[in-house]
Amino acid sequence: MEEQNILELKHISKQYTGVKALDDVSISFRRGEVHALMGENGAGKSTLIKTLSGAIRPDEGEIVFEGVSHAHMDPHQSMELGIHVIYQEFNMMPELSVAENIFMGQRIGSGKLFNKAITEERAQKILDSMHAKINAKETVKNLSVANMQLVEIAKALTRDVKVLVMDEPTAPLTDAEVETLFEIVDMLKKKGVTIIYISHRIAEVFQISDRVSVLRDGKFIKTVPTSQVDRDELIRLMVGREVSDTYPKRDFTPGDVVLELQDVSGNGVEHISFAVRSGEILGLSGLVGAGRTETMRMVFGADPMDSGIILLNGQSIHPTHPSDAVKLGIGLIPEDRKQQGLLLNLPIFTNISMATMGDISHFTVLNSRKEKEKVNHLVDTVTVKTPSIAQLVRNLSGGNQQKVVLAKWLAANCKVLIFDEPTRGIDVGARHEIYKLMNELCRQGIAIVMISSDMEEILGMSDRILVLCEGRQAGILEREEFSQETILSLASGQ
Amino acid sequence: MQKKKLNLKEYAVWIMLVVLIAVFSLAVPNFATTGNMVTILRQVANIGILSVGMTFVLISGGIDLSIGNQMGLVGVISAMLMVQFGMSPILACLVGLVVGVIIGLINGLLITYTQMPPLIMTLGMSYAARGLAYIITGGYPVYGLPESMKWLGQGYLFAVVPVCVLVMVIVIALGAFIMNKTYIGRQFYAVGSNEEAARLSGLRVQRVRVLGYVIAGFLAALSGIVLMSRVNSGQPMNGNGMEMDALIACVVGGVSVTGGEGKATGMIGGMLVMGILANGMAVAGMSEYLQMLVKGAVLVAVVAIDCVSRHQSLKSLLKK
Repeated sequence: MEEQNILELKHISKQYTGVKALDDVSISFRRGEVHALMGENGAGKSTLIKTLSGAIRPDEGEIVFEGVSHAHMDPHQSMELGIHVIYQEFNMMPELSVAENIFMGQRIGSGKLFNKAITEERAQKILDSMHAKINAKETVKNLSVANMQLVEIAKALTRDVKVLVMDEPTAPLTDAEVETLFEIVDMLKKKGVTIIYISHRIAEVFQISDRVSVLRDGKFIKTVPTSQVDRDELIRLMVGREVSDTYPKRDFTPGDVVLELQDVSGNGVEHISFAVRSGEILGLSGLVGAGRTETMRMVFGADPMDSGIILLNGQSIHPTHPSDAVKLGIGLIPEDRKQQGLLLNLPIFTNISMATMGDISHFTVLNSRKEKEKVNHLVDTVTVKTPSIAQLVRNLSGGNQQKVVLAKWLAANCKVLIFDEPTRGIDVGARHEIYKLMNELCRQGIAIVMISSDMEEILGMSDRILVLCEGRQAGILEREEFSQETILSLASGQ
Repeated sequence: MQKKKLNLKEYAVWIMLVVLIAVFSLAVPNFATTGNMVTILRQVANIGILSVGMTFVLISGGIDLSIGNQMGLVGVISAMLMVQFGMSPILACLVGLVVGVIIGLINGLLITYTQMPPLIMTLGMSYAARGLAYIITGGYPVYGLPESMKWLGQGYLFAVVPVCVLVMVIVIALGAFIMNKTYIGRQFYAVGSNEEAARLSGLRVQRVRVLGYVIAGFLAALSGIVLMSRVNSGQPMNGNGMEMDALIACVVGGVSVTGGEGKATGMIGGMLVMGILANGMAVAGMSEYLQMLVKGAVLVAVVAIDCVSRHQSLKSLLKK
């Protein structure tokens, strides 16, 4: 049995500030198998792959490759050994040709100079062997996403690849393209290449994998032969926990409808219709790329909308710029707070009063006394832990930074608040405080739309859940219908 | 720890200033006289006005390399209006200011709507402005300005305060007030610090950026008019290269070229450091070539020290 294993991970742990991304994970991969890796967002799949590719170093554990033990990999070594990772975001030079990309970093031919003809010829040979209909002379940026992916695979084939890791390879592909990909996966498997296949799509995993390993919250749960497990069992393994009572209870007495979308399309989503009442939290669930953020960015005026109607308190609104939304009383707490929510090198007070500077100024001259009063009050309300409101935001912890973003919108007296992944990268304690604040906002009659990839969070906090799948509305669940299984089914389009 | 480091950075330019004054006072006999101090202020007046505009643009995350040559263009336009068309000095100067605003507007609108790099746009504008100045004058200076025009650049208020220095002080004070105390100024910092976050907080980011170039254009025109008055003629090559002096003053004064950081007070320090350096060396009889060399070295040294200390503070943050 041991003989068959090409790659073994033993007791791998990796800790990021306060979060155990991987906790004593041990998995073995056999030569020539398709091994699916499953788990919810944040289960530790990406961290595991990065350990293999050498992008990160584990704190503990060993990686045994073909019988040789390594404490960690580095990117060059990993590639030399024959481990190749195809990330969701491709790793290519769009302005160069297919052939140049395929042989990037390698010397082709005998001469010291770059030999275009030989490079192209060899690249074409590899592409043909994959039955890929791609011209090696084509510029990469002109290829379809599916073909780019094939080029990525071809890149792996130029080296003696033994383990090929594919991260959500089918996410951007059409059904026909998926079939082509599977044929290639099959061909590689016959050659003895081990494929580590990461996907959220359960049906696919059953279609092509031999064995499947499940991760949950950074822990290894189980490896099972795919033939000995069914779909429900797999979901149970991935989810496998009760919603704990980290979610503070809240009496929900829904008020009137505040925000309503009627058949909204654009920005990659189609036909979205829902309503949020005052005092309600509507959860927005779905896989990464399902169009949750895209939908709400249209409501906020950050991206243009093609068609449909948005109603705020029964009045039709047409936000074409975030400033319109802000004036109407809609606030957005974005997914990536460092890139989109904060002015990191400026003080707390600037950040908090950013959306409401008009209110604290008189003919554009800021009333700093008024500002200080207001900001100090808000900082106390959301309990930002800081010695002074002049502290630069980059010196705050993730939880406190998120509270600053929240305080910015509290200052603006919003009627609707959109939370996009409100607790991503935030430790447990601060999470609880943010949940309590959200509940408090509901009590004050604010309507909340919460986008979240955290299953526990969405089940624990939402009053209703809208599930999106590939830019379309897959269903709206009432509280009685809440279950992780239902959401996963809807989100994966089944 | 963090706080201390930032303060040090803020004070660095003033420490440099004190050291420079001390060194020149001791080493150069004619340096530390009241007369020479006034001369220094007069010499930096144009750069000072120009630097305020540059600061606005830099803080909002842009750069304007056209302001130097705009000075020459505005100078000759106003001069020709007075000399050849007999326009009154006040009106001619107003037209000059409007030209500056229009150039700034073109810069700003093209940069924001085509999203081209500000460096390229304003470099192009810089050449265009100088070309235009040469075309309309045929390459010859415009002489024969009305006597009253001298007052702005050469005159004194109460016989002690040079008018051009007064103009600079007013511009800097007003600029500092707008940057620190107003809603408009706050928006420049927000946009330069994180454009997307500013947009998602409801700020009209593009308007702010355009306004930066308009302010820079207006102040370039003002500086150009002051210079025209000081040299008592419209010279098409006036102001050429001054955008770099303004940039150096800003950078030495701690205004970040990546946007979002910097204070008007720092810019004043930077401007005085460069002014004193130039004057001290000139009074000491050093050649202009040597002055150039020193100017360049100071710029590189200051930015290098800033970058290294920034890098280290980042590293220490990561280690934590």
